[in-house]
Amino acid sequence: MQKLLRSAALAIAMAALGGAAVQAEETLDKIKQSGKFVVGIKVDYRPFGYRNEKGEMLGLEHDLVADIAERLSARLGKKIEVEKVVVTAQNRMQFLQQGRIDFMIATMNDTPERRKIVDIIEPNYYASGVNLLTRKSNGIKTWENLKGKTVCTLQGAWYNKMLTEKYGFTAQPYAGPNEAAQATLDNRCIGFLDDDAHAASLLLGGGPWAEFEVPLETQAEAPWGMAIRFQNPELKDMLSKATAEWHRKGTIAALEKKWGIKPTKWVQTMQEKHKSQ
Amino acid sequence: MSRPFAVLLPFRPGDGLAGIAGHRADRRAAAGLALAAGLILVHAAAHAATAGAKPAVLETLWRWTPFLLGGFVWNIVISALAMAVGTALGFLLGIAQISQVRAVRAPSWFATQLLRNAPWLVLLFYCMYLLPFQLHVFGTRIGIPDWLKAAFGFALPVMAYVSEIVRGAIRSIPAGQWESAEALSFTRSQTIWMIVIPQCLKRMLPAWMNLYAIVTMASVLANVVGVSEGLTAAREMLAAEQRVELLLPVYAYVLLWFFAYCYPIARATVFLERRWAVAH
Repeated sequence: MQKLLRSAALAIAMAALGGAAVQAEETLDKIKQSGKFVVGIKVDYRPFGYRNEKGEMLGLEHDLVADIAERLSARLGKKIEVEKVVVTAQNRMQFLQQGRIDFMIATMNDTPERRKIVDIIEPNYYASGVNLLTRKSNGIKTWENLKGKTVCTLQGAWYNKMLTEKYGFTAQPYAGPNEAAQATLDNRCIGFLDDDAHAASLLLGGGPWAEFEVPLETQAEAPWGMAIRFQNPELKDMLSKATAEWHRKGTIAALEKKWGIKPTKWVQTMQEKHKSQ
Repeated sequence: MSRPFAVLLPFRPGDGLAGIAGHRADRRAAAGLALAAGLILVHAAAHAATAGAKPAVLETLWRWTPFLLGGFVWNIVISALAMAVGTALGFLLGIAQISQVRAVRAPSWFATQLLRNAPWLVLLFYCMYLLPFQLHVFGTRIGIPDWLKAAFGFALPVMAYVSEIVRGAIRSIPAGQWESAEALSFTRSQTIWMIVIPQCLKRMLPAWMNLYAIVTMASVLANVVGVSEGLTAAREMLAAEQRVELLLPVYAYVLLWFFAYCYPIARATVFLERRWAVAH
């Protein structure tokens, strides 16, 4: 029966691949032809991407996409509409590979493994690191203090394995930041191993978080990458230039301010670097 | 039925009008309790939240209600479509299961058993990731939206369950019906379509409605594979509000929506079961 299942799955997979094989055309041509820029973006990560109660999508990354769409319109000489496809950390790479989306900007860390699968735009547009959101009364001062403790983490975060091995704590993974944050409030773990930008935005919210702090030295700082499919040199070049210009003009720093994100050192460094070029 | 006998039978709910009324009152009370419990949960959390300067939980829920309902509608769309497709295919599969031709009977039995015993989430994963997201027909691209793929994913188990419901219902028709039909020189297909199936419909309906309620509740599984529906909307709302005290009230609220939708179906099922119960 397994054999049958497997061959059935294979047959369906081949049919699906047959459909995908037609995707070989250049993305930029496709955008010009259809007038649509299909973007994979997140809505579960405030303030980078989220929805308001009307269901409209907004956030820092959504602003960047609007900017790219304007550049595309100017370059292609016709109005390009943005079509947003909501992605999650689990399906974003696959959607891009399949051709379901043409461009991905989804709070994704730029890692060597991911570079093998999709074409990540350089320079990177943002960066974040990992810190611990913990009760002040826990008295955690260094990463070494975590040895033997249980820490709430996010499922599928690339740094989980590295940090648990390095500092000898036990990871208790949760499906999303809300669940992990709730577990932390309920004292099911010593703290939440969170993205520093996200942790800072929770602390800003006050309420039950007034008793919390982010005490450690940020670890595993990794840049975020926008991505496209391979073999799209023109689009890649255009996106690289756009990102460089954002850094030069301080667009990202301005957006951090707009969305209430604590200014990050990485963005400032990039700005100085690109200004001097 | 039993013969009259000089003994006081124990009271059974459902015996006589008073019994039925009492039974219903019990159920209503249970429903009321469940609703109240949900609301209390929401209320309690609301009080905890008023300590801060933020709007109360109830107010926040109210503000997001149109958005959450917009997500919930997809649960209904997906489950209704899955039921429609699954019932049509399952009906044929069920009749094929009682075919006199082995080459028809055996594969349909196998398909039914395979799909009926596979976890729904696994079938859903297969449909989501193996079906293409668009088709090329004569040079034009036709997109296949996620919810359609999810509906198809749920239609597979529905098909298998309906197949079994149909087979079971046909089997439950007394042999006398078949024999009388034969005596009146009905052909086999005439017997099935004109005599057996019409009697089966009544027997199948409660089970079928039960299945529908189950599919509706299962449709939140689509959230796992990234399809927008009620639970996805709830999670997006939580991500936007970034208030952990909302976590439980929001999930309780979504639960109430499902309860409000599925409970009447359950009530109607019980009613029809009782009304159409066949005395043996």
